[in-house]
Amino acid sequence: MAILRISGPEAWTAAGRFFRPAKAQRRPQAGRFFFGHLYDEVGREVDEAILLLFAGPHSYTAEDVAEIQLHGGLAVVEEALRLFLGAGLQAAAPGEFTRRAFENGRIDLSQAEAVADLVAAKSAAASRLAVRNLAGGLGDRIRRLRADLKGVLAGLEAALDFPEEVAIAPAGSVLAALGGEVDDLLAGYETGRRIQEGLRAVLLGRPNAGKSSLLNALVGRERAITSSQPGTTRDVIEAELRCEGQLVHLVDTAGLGAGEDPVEAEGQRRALAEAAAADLILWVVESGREEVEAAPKGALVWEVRQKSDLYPGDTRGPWPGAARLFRVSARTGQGLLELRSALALVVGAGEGVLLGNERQRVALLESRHALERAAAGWSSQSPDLLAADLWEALEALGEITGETGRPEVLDEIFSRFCLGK
Amino acid sequence: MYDVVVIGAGHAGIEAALAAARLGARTLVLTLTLEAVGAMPCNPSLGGPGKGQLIREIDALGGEMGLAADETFLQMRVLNTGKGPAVRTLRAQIDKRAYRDRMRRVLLNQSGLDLREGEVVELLVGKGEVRGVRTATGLEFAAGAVVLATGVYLGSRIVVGESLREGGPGGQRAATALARQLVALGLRLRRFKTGTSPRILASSADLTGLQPVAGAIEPMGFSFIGAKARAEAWPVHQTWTTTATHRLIEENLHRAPLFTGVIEGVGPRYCPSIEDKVVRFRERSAHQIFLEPEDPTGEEIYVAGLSTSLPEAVQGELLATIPGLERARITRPGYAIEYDCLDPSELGLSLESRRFGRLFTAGQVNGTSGYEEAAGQGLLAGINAVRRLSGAEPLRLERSEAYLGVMVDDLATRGAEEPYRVLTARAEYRLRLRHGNADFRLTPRGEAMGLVSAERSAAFRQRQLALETALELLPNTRVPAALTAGEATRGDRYLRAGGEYHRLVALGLPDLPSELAEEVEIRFRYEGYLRREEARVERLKRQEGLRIPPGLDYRSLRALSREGQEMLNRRRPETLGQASRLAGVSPADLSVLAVCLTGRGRTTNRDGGA
Repeated sequence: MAILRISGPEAWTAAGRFFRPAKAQRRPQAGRFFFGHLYDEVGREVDEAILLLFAGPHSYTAEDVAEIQLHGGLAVVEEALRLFLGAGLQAAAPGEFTRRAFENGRIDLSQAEAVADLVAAKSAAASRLAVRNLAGGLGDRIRRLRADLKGVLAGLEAALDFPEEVAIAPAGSVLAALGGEVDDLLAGYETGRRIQEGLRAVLLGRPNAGKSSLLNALVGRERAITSSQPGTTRDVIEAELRCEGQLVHLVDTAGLGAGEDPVEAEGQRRALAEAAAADLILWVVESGREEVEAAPKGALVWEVRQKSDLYPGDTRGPWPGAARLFRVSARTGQGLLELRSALALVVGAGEGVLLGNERQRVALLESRHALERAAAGWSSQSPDLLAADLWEALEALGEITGETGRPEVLDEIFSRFCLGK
Repeated sequence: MYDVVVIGAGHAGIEAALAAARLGARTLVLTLTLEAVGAMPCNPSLGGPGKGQLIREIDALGGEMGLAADETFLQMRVLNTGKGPAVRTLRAQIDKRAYRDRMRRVLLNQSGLDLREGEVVELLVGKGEVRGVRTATGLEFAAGAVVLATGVYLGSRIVVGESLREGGPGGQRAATALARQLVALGLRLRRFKTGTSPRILASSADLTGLQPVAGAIEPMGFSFIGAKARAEAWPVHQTWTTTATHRLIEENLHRAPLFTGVIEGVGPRYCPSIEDKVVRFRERSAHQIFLEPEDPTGEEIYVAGLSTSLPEAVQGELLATIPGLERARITRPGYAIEYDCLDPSELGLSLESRRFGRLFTAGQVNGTSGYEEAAGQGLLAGINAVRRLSGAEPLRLERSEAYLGVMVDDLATRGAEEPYRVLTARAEYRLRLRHGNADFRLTPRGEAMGLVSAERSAAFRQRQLALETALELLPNTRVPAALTAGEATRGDRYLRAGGEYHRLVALGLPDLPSELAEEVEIRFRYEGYLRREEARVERLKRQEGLRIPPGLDYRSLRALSREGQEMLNRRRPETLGQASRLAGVSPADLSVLAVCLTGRGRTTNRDGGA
């Protein structure tokens, strides 16, 4: 689950741009929550969502606040961020909500001092991480990106400030290439996050397919209660697993398609929510059983055919939605080694450049969106707006390395162009 | 006893003096010579990117430059038409004699203002404040505040080839005594350099075959008030240097003061001399030259783009290598000028010196270049000098509010490493700082200062009303499918999708002048971008809202980084926002400072103002 928090006098209106309550007649009201959906700019549903409204000064920041709870995975959060940032909202800087809280008199001096310490400590930690990252190549790649971007921007700015001397040069393809480079880095974030936080793999399947036995066999201890009774697992159970040094969070869930009683229904709802947030779904199927239901769509899906020792004659191929098929037996240990190696590989080999944190990712996302706008509009969009996009992209990248942009671009203008009457 | 004494009657001095007198202060302007009031010793042109917006802002606040330019231009045109409204701007060629005469007349006729010749040789200083001035002829004038607007005349010398002459433009002597006193007072001086191009006899140029750059046909002007005139649209002509020009320059580099070490001042990178251009950009075979008329009688032409300090004889040979100028006769040679200016990082955001109270400085003496930059600072200095006398809060414009704010903040916060000129690229909130909305941004501020005339107020209200009416009607206006080439829609959506306002007039919307119609279009078409900018402005405002007490002891804030502490101590920013733009002040330093500032505020309240 993810929470998007919007703060400021226009927070409610901003949230209303993309959120529609299920019951359309309900008026926005502080202290209430609203069930509904998030839609993108052309009306496509992005995710189910819950909206909570707070009226200033009775909120954390003492401003009007709208909180949107999403339960989709990273892709959904990313899409929601894209929507709101694209509509003119600004991503919060680290500690910004707290800063606003004390600027608005919401918290007192001692609390504020504690915040300052925290902010200072955080940036110390952040700078340690940054140093590591810089040594690891992230800084180099960002700096190269920024250098190319500054080149494009300097050319554009020179044409805006010295129209009689400099013409605008085409740069759409350079910008598209820069966008691709940012995409690479963002992909690195996925790997980085999985390495730091671990892969989230959800065991999903019909009751009594052998999910809990598989979990226990993989972690090597009786983490989940198992029995021959269908529906033994009624809630979500998590276990940590190390596969060749990589961290995997295994999540066991209640069987789908079990009975109708409220507890079981809730168990299934949670199972599906877990699946939606997972990096990987292990779709556990009992060998020899004809599977009628398909695994829910979501992240990467692998089919794991459990109890294969009991049905050596099962030669059916994988379910069409599954990327891979594993035949295993929790009882004999057959196929488990192969599954563990495969899990380790998904986590990532840890090569390339890794983003350290969410802040860097948001900055990269912002810069990518701005680059996309500029690349797409290069030949049609008004140059003053193109420049606004490029500055936004440059400044977002600068937030990662802690560099400003304006004086450098001015220097570049004067060193590259022969200007002045 | 005068309330305000202004030293210098260039573009900064004029605005400072007029603002002060119009605000009711008894004002004296001292100038080396009455002939030099409002002189343009460099290009006879006003406006261009950044600069045109500055003139609009000066006008919106109640300044004089826009009105004077509108009355005396030879041609005017819109620049950056295809590059978006945020960078669109006007540039005018000015009849420089008419401009000078008009400005002198306005100063002489302004009530409460005395204009007279006199060289100030000394600032009268007592108890850390400036109390008046003394002239070379021994007169002393006591003053409540002094505005120093001496341009390039402090310790200046003019260089043409091997010839050196102490003095400033127009054959005037340098204000050497005053420069010496400023050093003695402990003010930091910098040495800058700038230059100009040769002027030629207009009849000696052969303009046939050269590309003319015509002025606009339609009436236009900088000012938001006054009649829009259409001048005769004198053309500017374009030509190019040749390889022969470049060869000649290379052969004479040993006589170029810029390269022989004679000139030590720092010149502007955006306005290099031709010898600099040729040496730095050797791969280029030609550089642009514009032939700008200096007066309507067609006597002299300014050869823009050929700024040089090569020997006068070489300048003549250079001209002969340029198409159209083969037989050109020089009336005045180009020259380089080196001069002293103050380090603007010793200024407060009100343009009052942080070293000496009641001393305001404006224009090139602050390390800027450009008539418009000077005028803008002059206006602010004049206003703030008067406000200083009455103890009112000074007028400080934010970076998000005006190019004037960007300029003053750049100067006071970062200082100047080279002669400073405005560039639209310096403005972080450029989409807001349009020339078309300068009055909406600033005229209310000007009214609050008391500098806006009844005529200007009325014109502003009229524009405001027309704009608001249109904005109100738009969402309720149905635009038929015939206009949209698609489905019928609402007026606001139509504009958002790039529609043109004038097509809606037939549907009952008010018929607006084209610039105002454009203003309406921008507000819808640029909505998403403007809103994003707005969010950044809000963040800035909270920072600018936190004022730092002048005497804050940074050494007592041990949580500050050493580098941050040093920088803060030296530059003594006035707001948290200004602190955030200082190199070496980290985000963590800012947090510490923010907490300290909010904490102090509360403590003071609790103790009843201890």
